[in-house]
Amino acid sequence: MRTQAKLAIYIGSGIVLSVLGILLRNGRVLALAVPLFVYASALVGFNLVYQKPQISVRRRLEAGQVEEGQQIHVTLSVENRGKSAVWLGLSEKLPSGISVIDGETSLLALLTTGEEISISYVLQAPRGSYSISGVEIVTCGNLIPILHREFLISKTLFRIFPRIEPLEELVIRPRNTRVYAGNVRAGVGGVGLDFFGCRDYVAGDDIKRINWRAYARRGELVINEFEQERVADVSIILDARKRANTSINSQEVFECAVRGAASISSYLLTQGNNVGLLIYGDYMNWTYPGYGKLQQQKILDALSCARTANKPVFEDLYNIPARFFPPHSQLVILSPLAGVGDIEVLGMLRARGYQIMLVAPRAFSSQCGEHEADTKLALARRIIKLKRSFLLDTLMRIGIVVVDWNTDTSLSQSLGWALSRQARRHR
Amino acid sequence: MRTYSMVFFSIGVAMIAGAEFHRASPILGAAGLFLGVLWIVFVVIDSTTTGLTVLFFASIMLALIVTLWGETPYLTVCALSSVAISWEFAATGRQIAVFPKKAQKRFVRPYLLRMLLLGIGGSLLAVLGLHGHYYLSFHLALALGVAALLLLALMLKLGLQNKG
Repeated sequence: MRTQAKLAIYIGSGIVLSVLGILLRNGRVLALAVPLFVYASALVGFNLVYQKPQISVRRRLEAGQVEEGQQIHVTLSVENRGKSAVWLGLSEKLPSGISVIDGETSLLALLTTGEEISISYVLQAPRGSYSISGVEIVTCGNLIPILHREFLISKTLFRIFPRIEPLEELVIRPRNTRVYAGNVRAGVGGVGLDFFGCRDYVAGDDIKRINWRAYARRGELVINEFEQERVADVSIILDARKRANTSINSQEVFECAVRGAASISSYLLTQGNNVGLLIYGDYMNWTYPGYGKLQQQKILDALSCARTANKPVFEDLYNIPARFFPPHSQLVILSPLAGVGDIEVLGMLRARGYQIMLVAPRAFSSQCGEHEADTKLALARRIIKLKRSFLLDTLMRIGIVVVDWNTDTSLSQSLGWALSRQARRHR
Repeated sequence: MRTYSMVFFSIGVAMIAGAEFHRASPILGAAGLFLGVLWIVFVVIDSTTTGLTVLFFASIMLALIVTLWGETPYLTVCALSSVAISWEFAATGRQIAVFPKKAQKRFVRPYLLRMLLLGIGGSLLAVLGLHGHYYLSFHLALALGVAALLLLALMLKLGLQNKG
């Protein structure tokens, strides 16, 4: 209760009793008002002599950004810089979702002049961007036992990034690549590792690359050419539509998709590619393409704040801004797919020359639901599986690389299966 | 804090109820006991401060009725002081509820001492007022009353300014 409210109650009651006492000419009633006025005077007196304590609060986080599942050690130090001792209570107001694993988030102690007290705690939180805004301080003067409450602002930001899974291999084959050397096969002859073809010798060519057998057959010098490996433009699209993520364990599926996006972006950036990220759902959250660790940080920042949303304008994939993506580049789409409309959009993108890899996380394993006791539930699961299988088959037929990711297994494993299936199809 | 609040309120209403039962006035005694039970229930279920404030007002009303009905208000004044301490404890308890129990216990001792000093001081002042008879002229009494009121208003203004 605030001091003013307390004062109002004491003084109001005291005045009522006093007026009654005077009106009734009863000294005993007047006497009843005395203890109330004493409390009120104490309160007012405290406010008169109260001097705002000189307190300095510092909050230190061991790390400002960690991966999901990791813990953050926080230390909160308070120092009394005033001239008198003060009873001081402080408590952290942590945002919802954060759980304190160990330690105390509040403290109540008598702080003498110059004394410093620290509390430390360990917190854990799900993926997201958090801000610990203030420290609530309760001070109690030495003269009169009235509490004062205030809020010292000491804002601290930290982020919990999605977990990055190390990927063994991720093969992309965009039609266009950049000029810089990288790991993506460019479909152009030159210096590389894989044999690409032969051409006539031109003055200045490296004689180490002369194909002597062909020369023996044709009588003309022929040069071996290898496929150039370059960096590519890759755009990762994370489907954050609530409509697409309304399956069984929808939140878990979305979290898996976010982790997948983080893992794929990390892998592609390590390979030196130019990677951008579009989170499609809440708003057009576009992380402009870039290279290296800084870009990785930007993408992780965007992914840490990714949430599913139900916006009518993003209900289907028709509003995907294709102009953001470099022509004939690689698109990696992470989406559980919402329906046939999505296939149409992906088909249109494919027709515009983009190479598309669809990573479709699913919440239930292929065996799940076959031995369900509830026949209706089992039937429902079977229908969902059939519908999904139909959608994915259609996409494969139009030349999209489909990674059917069972979230019980690792993304690396699912990518391996998908790529080996694609290799078989090409053979 | 909650325990102290319950104890002080129980002492306060027990004083009133005991005196009323002794004076063969069971309705006022029962009302006092009822208020005590309600207070304990409110504190135990961690009711809002508003509920406790209403009970505090009810206690003041009871004290007033008992004083108008009864003879000497010594017990009533003490009971009212006790109830005020109890209310303060309940309000403070809510403010420091977030802190560790161990630290709360360390805080309670000096707090209790100061509250008791205030309570005893207030009661003594009231009893002194009942005992002492000072003959003042009407004009002097009026001037003193107005001066006291102005002084309180000034303190209030300065105090709230200081806080702000």
